[in-house]
Amino acid sequence: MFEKFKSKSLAIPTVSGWIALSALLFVGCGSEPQFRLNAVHKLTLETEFQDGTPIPEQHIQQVGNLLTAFFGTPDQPHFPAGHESLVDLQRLNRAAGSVPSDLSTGRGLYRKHCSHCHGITGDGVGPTAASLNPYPRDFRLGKFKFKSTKMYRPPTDEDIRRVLERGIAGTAMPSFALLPEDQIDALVDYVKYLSIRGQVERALLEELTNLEEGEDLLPPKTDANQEDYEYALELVMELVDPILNKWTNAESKVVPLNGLPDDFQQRMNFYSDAGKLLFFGKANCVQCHGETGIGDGQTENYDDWTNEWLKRANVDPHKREQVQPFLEAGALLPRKIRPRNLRELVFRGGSQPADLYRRVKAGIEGSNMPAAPTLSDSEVWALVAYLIELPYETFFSDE
Amino acid sequence: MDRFWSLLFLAVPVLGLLIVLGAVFNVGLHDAWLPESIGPRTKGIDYLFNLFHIIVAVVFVGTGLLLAFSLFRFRATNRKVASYVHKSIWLELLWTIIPAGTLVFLAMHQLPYWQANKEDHRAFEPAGAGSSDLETPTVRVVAYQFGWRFIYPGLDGTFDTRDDVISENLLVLPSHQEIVAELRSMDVIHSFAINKLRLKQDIVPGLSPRIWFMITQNGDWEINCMELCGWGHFRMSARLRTVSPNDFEDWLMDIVQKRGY
Amino acid sequence: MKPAESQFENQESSADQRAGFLRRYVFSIDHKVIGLQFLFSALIWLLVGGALAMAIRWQMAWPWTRIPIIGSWLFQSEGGQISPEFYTMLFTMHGTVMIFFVIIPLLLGAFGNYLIPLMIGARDMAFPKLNMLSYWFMWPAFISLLMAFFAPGYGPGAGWTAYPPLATVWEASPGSGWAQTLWLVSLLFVGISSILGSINYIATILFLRAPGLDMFRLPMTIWGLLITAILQALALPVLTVALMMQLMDRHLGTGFFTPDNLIINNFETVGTVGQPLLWQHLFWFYSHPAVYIMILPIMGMVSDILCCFARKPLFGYRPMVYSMCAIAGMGFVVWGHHMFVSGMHPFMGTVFMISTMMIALPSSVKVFNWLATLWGGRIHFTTSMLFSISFVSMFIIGGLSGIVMAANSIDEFVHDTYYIVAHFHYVLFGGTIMGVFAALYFWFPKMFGRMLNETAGKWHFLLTFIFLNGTFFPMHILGWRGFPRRMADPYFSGQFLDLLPLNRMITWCAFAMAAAQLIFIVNFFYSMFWGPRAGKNPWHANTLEWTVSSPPPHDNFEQIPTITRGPYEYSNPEHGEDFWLQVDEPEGTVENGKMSTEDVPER
Repeated sequence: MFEKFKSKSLAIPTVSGWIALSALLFVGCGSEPQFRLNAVHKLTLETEFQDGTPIPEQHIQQVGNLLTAFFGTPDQPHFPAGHESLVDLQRLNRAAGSVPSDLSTGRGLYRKHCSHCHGITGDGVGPTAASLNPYPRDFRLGKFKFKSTKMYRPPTDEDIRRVLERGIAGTAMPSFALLPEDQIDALVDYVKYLSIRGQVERALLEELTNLEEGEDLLPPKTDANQEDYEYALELVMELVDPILNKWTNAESKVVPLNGLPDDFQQRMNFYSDAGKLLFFGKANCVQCHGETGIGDGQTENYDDWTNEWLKRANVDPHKREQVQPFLEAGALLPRKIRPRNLRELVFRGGSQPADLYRRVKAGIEGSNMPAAPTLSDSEVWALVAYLIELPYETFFSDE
Repeated sequence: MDRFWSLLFLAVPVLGLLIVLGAVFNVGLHDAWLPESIGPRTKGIDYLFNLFHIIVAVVFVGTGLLLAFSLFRFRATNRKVASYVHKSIWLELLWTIIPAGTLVFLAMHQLPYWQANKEDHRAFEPAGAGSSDLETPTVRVVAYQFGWRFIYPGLDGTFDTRDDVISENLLVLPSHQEIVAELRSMDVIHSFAINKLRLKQDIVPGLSPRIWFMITQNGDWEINCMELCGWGHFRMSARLRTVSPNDFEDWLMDIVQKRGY
Repeated sequence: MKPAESQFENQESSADQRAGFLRRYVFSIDHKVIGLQFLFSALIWLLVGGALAMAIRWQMAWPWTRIPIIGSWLFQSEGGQISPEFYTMLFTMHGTVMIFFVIIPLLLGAFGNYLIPLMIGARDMAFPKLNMLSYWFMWPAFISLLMAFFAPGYGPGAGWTAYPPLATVWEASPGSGWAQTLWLVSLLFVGISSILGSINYIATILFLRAPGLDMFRLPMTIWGLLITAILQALALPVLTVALMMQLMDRHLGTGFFTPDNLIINNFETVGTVGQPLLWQHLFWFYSHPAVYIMILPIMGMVSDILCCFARKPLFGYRPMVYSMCAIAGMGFVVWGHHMFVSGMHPFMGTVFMISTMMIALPSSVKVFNWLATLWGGRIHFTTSMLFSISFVSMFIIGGLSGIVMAANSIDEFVHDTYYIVAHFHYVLFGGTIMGVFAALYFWFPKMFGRMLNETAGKWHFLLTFIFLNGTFFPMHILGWRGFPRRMADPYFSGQFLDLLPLNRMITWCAFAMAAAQLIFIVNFFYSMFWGPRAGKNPWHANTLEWTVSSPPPHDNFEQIPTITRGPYEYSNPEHGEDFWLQVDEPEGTVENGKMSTEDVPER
């Protein structure tokens, strides 16, 4: 009965609209991501050594080519020849690449779990990073806080795995304990890979500042300059090899757990009292961690990842115009770090006595927590006993 | 065309019912009904879930068929004139009283289950009441962005002492024992949920709600956060491991030993 | 009193007619122009909200893979995969946009404004300038929500429910900074706009009815809008206050909702002894009635459309009105069912469970009355009718799953799972949006004077209906498997990995459903300009808006009509035709020829 309202068919405009829409879906599919240049470090070096003169673009290009030759791309990782024992290429391949659409764990673990904070490059500036406190770790310095090895030594595989499995309480680093073992293995290797790549990149960039006018880091390979090329490559390898060797030897630099008193468990209170004296006295923990241990002593410092460019490029963090170029290069806004609140029940690097011993004995790399060479082993254990006791101690004032 | 439209609306109850039946009886759709159950707590909830769905399905199919039938029967091509009917007090009464009775029955019928899961326990603590006369919970759950901390009272049976045992993101519990857990949050609202126990309890910071449950199987299960807690909400899961009571003691002792006591 | 008032207002709006283009079409105080302004803004936001939903579905089906368009635009250096806080923004904004910028403005702003004066025989709203203000208060809301998209953290990330402390503490999540503030400001403006609108509707319906139009001769549409307006006027101030309190918590250092001594992202809250549950109570005290605000007007409109195309009086007019009132009244005492697992006292859970169960009763009465209206009718399957019937069909599903969830023991299991998502999408999409389409197809001829293309309309309906069910019905299955909502990657821990194929299927259906809307867009704009002319009363309906030309003239009625009967006198044997307008028109003015039983039946 309402059929008298006839109008033209709308099939053609509709179907053409659909075609246009589906075409839109394929617009700008873009290329696969690339590793980002360490622009902050480049800027730091330029400010430190060259009064702000930029490093020539072709040199940067050469560094990039070398890195690609050594380490490949985020989708196709390589590893320098002769160091295959350090990381397993098969594992790297599982962690690298984009997330497969069927969610099989064949590839893409890093981008699935890590890259939104740590970034594809491992530079700690993924999309989520800026709003986290503390910032996600920038792997490229090769510094790791919670490890069993000595200061300035890379962590062992076990150390990285432990952080992945337990997470770091009190930070945004979650626990990945629910992932299967082999996936964690792959991620451990990939973290090492990113870290080593970052360190090599830094070393090469630093080397650039030593070059004479007109000199190249690695001249283009031609028949004529075969010798020059090989010499230059040797020089480059001299920079790269020590970094890799350090990682290979990490295992041997584990801080030994010396001098654990036999009666440590039985006489906890005794050691704890001794530790308390050290806390306020010889070890001077109180200076940073404060009298109540909540970490309100020294709060004006930055960590190494920030000091790296603040100090070397002599930037005043309170002057926006000085900081701004670095922010644009990819640094995060400088943020002061607080000494640990020792009353939080759990410690970021593990709460067992062995963990605490290593934190006190070897310090925490990258932070302002120093190693304690002047303390004897038994003194360190006494401090450990006090640290275990501290969270349950009632607050005291004006000691 | 009118017939086609009637059939289209007929498809709603028919297909809907078929899909749900397929899910329930595992035909065509595998593992599409309720997840497995690992404790007695689920019994009542699953029973209610099934009961409600049976009643709802009857209404769904009944009204759906009625709708499709009247569309088919009273399509304009089939009729010259519509009937001029305004109301029927008896029909109104009928379809007020029957649903009302059903709803009242459902409401009353499910009350005891809610009570059993939420109130009938000595650990029940109304918000704000003093907690001095409550039993000590088996475990205290502390939720934070984005992880779980499980604190056991340790050997002395009281919390906030030096021998508390702390486990991050791994909750080990004895099976076949009633567990009382006290939930706390360090930062925002989280929700402690074990899917296979049909258990869910929001943890509002400042409140410390208690839950109790029993798991009758040994194995590994998952704890999820089910209340939006920030960007990392999706990864806030922890492992729940149930072991025999003896193994639980051993595990606890092992940690106590490692802590150096 | 009454005539004098309306006289005054009408003079004012007549002056409007003589004014320039800007006064006439942009800053107009004519209710029809304002209604269309609301309509177009809301439809544009519907596209935005739909696009957000598509992005959500992409992430559910292919998590962390390169997402089309957005990926290469925002996350090129991350391989085009979105970040988790972007996902939280997606569902936060999807909910906010759809509820506050689409459904409520569409129902009350667009249809309320357009239909109320026409259907009650008034020349305009009671307060035309207030009406204009109510629309223009939406613009600050639009702008600040748009700004929120570009604030740090990609936009607010606390969900549309904005639970503190996640929403009150700046450090709590990437989107808890300026984005959240802008979100709050935006909602404040929406709230003010809606309060102004609802006062206006109440006043108009109560005082400007044409002579003879007593309350029980009002069409159900008007009843729905009236009750909704009352609901809004009573509930919205609570939300407005709560939003102010949250703003103060964030900017003035008050502590209504934030407890003391929290450590969030290494920021400590100090000295704010607040209670997050308070926000939940205040928020749901508005937002549960809001659910009825979003469905009652559509219930009214669907009742009218069903009667018109079944050519049959509404079955049980008074029970329909009473059940609407009952839903509205009881809607105020059920909000706690959103908080069964929140840690509220279990006894409160019992109370809210019982009230929630009982609110299903008036809804079921309505459903049975609709069925009885269809029974014995002479049903014409126009597009508008098909959408109306699907409203009934879908509302049954949404209502029934509501009963399941009302049982608090079951809710403890399905809370925050996709069962909830399925439920409210069946009510809000299957119900409200399908009803909106029905109303658009029904009143489009009145609004633009031209008919929508029926063939395209039926395709639009068929595809939408199929894919709507394909999208939302499987979500029940996800729900009773425990699949959680609001997670950027629910497969993270492996527990729900087996539900990935089902999610893919849902996503394909969602995409197809979105594509089907293109038919409507093309139809809408084509027919607006080139559709066949509609005439006064294309559907042979009874209510007053069909007695004036399409589109209606500026002051609607040349003479305020005198109403002689109710709105549902279809197929009255005492009358020659199967419809009987509410007014007795002078001889020979019924436009579209006679409607009689000898009409050639439809194919």
